[in-house]
Parts: sequence; structure tokens; C-alpha cells
Amino acid sequence: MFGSKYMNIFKSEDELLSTLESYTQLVIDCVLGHLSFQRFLVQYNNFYMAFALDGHESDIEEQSLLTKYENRIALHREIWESILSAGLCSDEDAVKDEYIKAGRFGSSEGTKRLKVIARKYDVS
Amino acid sequence: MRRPYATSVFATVVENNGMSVLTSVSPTGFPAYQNHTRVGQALGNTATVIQGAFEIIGGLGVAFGGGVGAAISAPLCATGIGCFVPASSATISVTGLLTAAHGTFVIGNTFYNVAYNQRGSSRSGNTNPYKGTVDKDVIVVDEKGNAIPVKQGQKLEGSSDGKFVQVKDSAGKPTGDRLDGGGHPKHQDPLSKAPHAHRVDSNGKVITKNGNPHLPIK
Repeated sequence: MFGSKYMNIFKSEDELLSTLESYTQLVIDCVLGHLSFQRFLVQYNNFYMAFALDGHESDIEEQSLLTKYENRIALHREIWESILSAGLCSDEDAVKDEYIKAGRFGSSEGTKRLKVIARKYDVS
Repeated sequence: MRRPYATSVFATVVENNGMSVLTSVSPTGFPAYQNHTRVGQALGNTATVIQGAFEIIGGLGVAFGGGVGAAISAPLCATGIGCFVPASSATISVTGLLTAAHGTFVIGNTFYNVAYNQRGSSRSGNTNPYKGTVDKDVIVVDEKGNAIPVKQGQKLEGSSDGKFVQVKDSAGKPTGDRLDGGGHPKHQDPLSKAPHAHRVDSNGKVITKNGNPHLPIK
């Protein structure tokens, strides 16, 4: 059904799945300590937003595909909402009073949150 | 962080007595103007207006030959916060005038603080969309000059590098206004691959440019 033609972002259902799998592996690697949080951020590169996994860039066919795998995508949406766009800042800034008062946090808190999310979605 | 009411009341009284420097730098942690609770501030302001009135009435009474007790009974003199109390009968006229002058200053300073210093973020509402929903329309401009309008009741969420920013409503639902400064490298449309923005009109309909929803950004 899916993959009959080139969709907006993913060429096929398989490509979506393999992409999700590789980025989920980054999460696992970071949670298990095989990848530092900083390296994770570089390689993860705002995955949910960069691939527009909310579907705002997709045609109807691709949106249906994203809906089909929304449970797998939810992990990455939560990483975006609870870590990447929730006040993450550099470790250097994270210890400053102004940043603490503003609710900003660094890699230590980011890693904690990532572990919680990974457990929630049972990927670690 | 907001402080307890009692702390706010006391600190407001101190500030209105002209010692705001102490409250802003005190190691005891007295709150600065913007950290008071509204109730604490209101009670403190009321107390200092009453204090000032007592000092004026009592001070003038002392200065012009009567009402010594009024000055001494000014309710906040007992706190030791800058209330002038006659030291002896030899100076009673001068101290009466000073007491009245101090009362005038306290009332004036109270109104000044209400007008200019007590209009911090806790009173005028939130205008920082990264802290939560804003209480009035604001426009956020990034370092490249891209402007993101945020309406009352909306907030912003974005990546720490500022590349991806979304406007969300009070329920956390994206409104459609967004900055995709990192673009979508895998997208077929070159305009989507490149850094761009999306805007919606007042009806929530996506605004397009030449039929394309990817609006150019700097």
C-alpha cells in the first residue's frame, strides 16, 4: 500500500521504519552510556522536527503512514517536547542562577529525562 | 520566586520607607520589588500610607504644640523602620516637623513605588513566551531578524540552537506558526529543504507564497 510512489520525505514505508530504528538506536546507545549526551544531540539533530514527523510537511499518503506508526514516533515527539524544546541548554549555562530560575537544564538532567522516556516506551 | 505574604508585607514597608536598596541586596533574602506577592504588596502599601498619615498628623501636632502621643503611637514606629520619635522636649518642635516630613516622604514614596517599581513581571503578567503563555501579544525576534508573533495565551517552544521554534496554544497544541530554521533535509521540495517558516492566518489557514507554504526566512 505505502511506497507506491515517492512521498514527501520518505521514499517508502521501509525507509520510514529503518529511519525510526536508527534514531531509536541512538536513544538506546545514549541511555546505556555508549554515547555521550552531547554526541547524542549532534547525531540526533532534532530528529522529530528535522523529519517533520508531525506530518505537517507530508502528503495524505505519508500522513497515513505516520499515523500508522505513531506509537513509535511518540517516543521521538516526547524527546522533542520534554527535552530538546523544554529548556535544554549548555552545561556551562545550566549552572548559572538566571538559567536555573528560568527552568533551563543541562546534559545531566537531559540524560535523566531521556532515560525516563526510554523506559516509558520500553526501548532501553 | 514569589515569597511568603508576611515577607512581602514587611519588605514592602521597608521599601516604602526608602530602604529599597537593603531589600534588594540583603543577605537575609528579602525580596526585590518584582518578587513580592500582590497581596503582600497591597498590605504593605496600606500599612505605610497609614504610617505616613499618623506621622504627618502626629508630627504637625507635636511641632505646633500638641499631640505628642500621636507621633509616638504611629503604628510602625515600634518596628524601628525609620520612624522619627521625639528625643526630648527641647527638640520637640524640630522632631515634630521631621516626623511630619518623614510621613510625607513615606506616602509619596509608596505611591511612587506603586507607580514605577511595583510593575514588575508579577504585576504586568508574563511577556516571555518561553516561560509560558503570554498575557499580551508579543513579537519575538531571533538573532537573524526573523520575527515570530505570539498572541495572548500562546507560548513558544524551540530547540536550544534556535533552529526549530513552534508557537503553541495554552493547551500545548501547535498553532501552525513555526520556524523550521533547520529545514527538512529529506524533503523533495527545495523550499522545504531550506530554512523556512510557516504562518497561519487568523482562521488557522496556512499562508502561502506563490502557492507554497514554505515562507522564506533570513
